[in-house]
Amino acid sequence: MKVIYHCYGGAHASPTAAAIHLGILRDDRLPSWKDFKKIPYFDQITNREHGKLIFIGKDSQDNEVYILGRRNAATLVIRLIQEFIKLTGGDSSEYYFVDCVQLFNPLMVTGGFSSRALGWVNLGRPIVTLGTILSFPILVAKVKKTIAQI
Amino acid sequence: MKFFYYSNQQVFMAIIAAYIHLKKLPQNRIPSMEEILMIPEFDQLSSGDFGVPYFIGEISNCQIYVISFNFKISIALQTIKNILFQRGVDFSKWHFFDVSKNKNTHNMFIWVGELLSRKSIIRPLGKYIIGIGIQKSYRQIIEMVNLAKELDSPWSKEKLW
Repeated sequence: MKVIYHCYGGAHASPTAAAIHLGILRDDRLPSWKDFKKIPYFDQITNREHGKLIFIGKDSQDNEVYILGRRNAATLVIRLIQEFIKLTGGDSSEYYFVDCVQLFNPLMVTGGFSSRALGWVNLGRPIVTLGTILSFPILVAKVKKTIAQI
Repeated sequence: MKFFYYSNQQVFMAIIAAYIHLKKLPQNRIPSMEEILMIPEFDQLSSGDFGVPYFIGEISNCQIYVISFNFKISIALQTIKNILFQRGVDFSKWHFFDVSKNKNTHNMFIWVGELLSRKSIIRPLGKYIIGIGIQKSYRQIIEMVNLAKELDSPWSKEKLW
């Protein structure tokens, strides 16, 4: 199974969820600021990578974990991925999509926008990191539910 | 080879382009309203089907599809490019053509008709208005399809991607 965590920009909520899934972040305590440096692609994805499945790693069950930035077009992007996988002879049922955007909070939105869209990384990254810490318990619950379902 | 006629909103124009490509509609005259409204895909495809490619037919080893991107063409093309790349597909055999870009072909009648046809209760009226729009710009649609057919690379990688 390929698990795809997706959110608006694919830069914060989904990399964090993928890191929890893969055990890069511990799920029994809130991450420290230093822990975020261990998260692959955290606050690094740009517009050019939107619509792209980015491989993060394999979990203990051999499931492949990906992240995806899909702007405000989740239904369209997921359908396109599924349909074009079928058209190219693949099996779209192997792909399990998990929406992380519902977990957003104002700090993640403003921090993420400042860092990714405006390029104000020094201002945006601390704000979005704080926002992600606040959302962390919800992300952990989401990942645990995903692992139980796949 | 696969050929995709895509549209911003609904796929009526894309269906007409596909039908011309497949020679199911005439190239030497403007089709009657009845010929246009009798096209089965006009009733089969709905506005909620965006992102799903529909196979219309095959000609000279070329499979023709239509698809709607629901006003999100940029992210849609970027997604398709990425998934084809990750699947190791040869881009040169996948052609994509925007039928809603040209204002001469995608005229006001077609815009209004597509909007009206979103509501099932006034869909027949919407289809009729689209039919008028198609008749008005039919010559330009033929030119557009002929241009699309001539492009032999994925309507050039630089242009599409």
